[in-house]
Amino acid sequence: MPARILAFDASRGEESHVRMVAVTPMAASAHHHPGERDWPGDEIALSRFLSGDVLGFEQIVRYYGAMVFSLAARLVGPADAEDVVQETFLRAYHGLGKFRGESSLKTWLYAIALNRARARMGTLGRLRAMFVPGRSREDDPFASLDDAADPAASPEENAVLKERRVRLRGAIRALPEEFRAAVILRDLEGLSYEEVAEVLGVPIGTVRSRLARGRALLKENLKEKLS
Amino acid sequence: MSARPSVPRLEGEELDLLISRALDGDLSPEETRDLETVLANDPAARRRKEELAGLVAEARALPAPAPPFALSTRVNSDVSEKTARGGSIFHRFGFYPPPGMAIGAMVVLGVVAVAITVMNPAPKRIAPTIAQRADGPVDVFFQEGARAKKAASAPSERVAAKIASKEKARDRGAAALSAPASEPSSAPASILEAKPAAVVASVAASNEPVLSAAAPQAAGGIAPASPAAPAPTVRAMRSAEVRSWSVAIRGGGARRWMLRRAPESRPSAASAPASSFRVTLDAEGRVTAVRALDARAVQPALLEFVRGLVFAPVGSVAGNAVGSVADGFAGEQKAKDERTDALSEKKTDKTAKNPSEIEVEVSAR
Repeated sequence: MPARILAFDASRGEESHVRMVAVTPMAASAHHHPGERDWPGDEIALSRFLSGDVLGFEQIVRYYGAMVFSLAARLVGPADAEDVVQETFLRAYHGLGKFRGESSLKTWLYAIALNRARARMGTLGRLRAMFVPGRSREDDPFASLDDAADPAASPEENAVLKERRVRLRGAIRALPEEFRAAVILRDLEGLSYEEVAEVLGVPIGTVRSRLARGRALLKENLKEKLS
Repeated sequence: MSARPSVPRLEGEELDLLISRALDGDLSPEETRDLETVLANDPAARRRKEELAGLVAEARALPAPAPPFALSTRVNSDVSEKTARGGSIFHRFGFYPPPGMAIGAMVVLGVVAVAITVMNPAPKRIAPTIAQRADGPVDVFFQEGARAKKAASAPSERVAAKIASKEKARDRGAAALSAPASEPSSAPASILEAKPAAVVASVAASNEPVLSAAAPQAAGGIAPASPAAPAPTVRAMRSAEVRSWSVAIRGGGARRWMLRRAPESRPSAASAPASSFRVTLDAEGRVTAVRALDARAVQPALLEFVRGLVFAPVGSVAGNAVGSVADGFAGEQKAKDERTDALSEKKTDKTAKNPSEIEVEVSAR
């Protein structure tokens, strides 16, 4: 549930809502960072890297690697996600010298990953996928994302849950790219509106409208799948 | 009388936008009140909000894909491998070139090199005329003149000439060794001394693209391109009566004049643009006398050019020893003086007892 921060306006003698901040559980726990224990923070890792210490970049990869992989897997599928991650960090390696800190390192890496995924999903990427042996266009690249069954639930419930998730992933995949990116970044990756705007490079108002339209389209897609 | 509060009408995308923002907690208090009013009065809107809320909750509940094992290690090793060649070096100096920069720099350098080459072409190495290869020696071949031609008409000599021509290729190397033309005091010199007027020379291969290739032939005493190289010539060669000279033409004269072999049948003066000269050389190859063979007037500069020619015996042609034109034409007064001194000394020089005569043809460029 959203938490409201209340402030007292002394001049008017009444309480007024100054801002509503959404605190969603998934935003804080969307990703588990494998390198969290020895993570020194963005600034220290960056300064290490810029001073020539290789360890700084390795820490960045360990801390943000899973996060970038998650986004890439949701965009292009798990089979190509690792390639996207490698391209992302290779670009980041060459571009970190120009990183000015105007955005967070997290959104900067997300933006690179999104661009690499778009390139892979583009015309050349589709052509390349046609010639990859052992993979047909009918294969579901997201099939391996189906998570393991909940041990607390019954087999029937697990089957229903799995079916719903497969259907939902298919509906998300069927969204137009601009809406899909917004929905994935906000609802699946847990980024705030500001962060989504930074990653997509669009104003916050555009993020709001894309999210609204994307969710509406997602609902329609699900209805079509059920029907 | 109480006024009923106005209910805002929200439909379609506007309603979806408010519901979407409400699900994210992004609405202001006023917008929240408006939405709550709409939802309280519109069951369809309420139902839509519930559907969207369930959808968003379900999407947020999707588990994050687990990264494959040792992803970070693979990524790190891949990055370090692909940046090991130059990127890390640049990196240590605070320079972060984009991946395509090296290729782009090479392309730009290539384009610049091609542009420079095209805009400033190098001087042509293969010139259509002598002047541009005047730094190399022009070989001169002495042949037995009128006497040899006369003897060549004898049938017995023709037979001998045929035999000799068959042996020519075999003996060419031996002749080169047995007839060192660089020694003016050798046997040929004595023959020339006895019959100076009978020795006719021609400058060979002066307009052929095989100047360097002419050198071994010169050593053998064969004028390969000359139509007047009949069998008696070969006989003369074998009897060591053939001498070879070379001359290098440099400087302004080379740019203005073109030295050719004198043609066997001289064209008429009206049609020939060239001037022919009979040049008398001393044993050291210096010009001692020049006689114009054409009736027409000769330019003083051309005469000066011919007088300035200095021939060198083939065999002693090496480096600076190559006979060269002391280019009085170009105004080198010092060289003129030296040449004048040499010519005056020549009159009394006892070494000038082997005069030779060659015929050259000089034409303006």
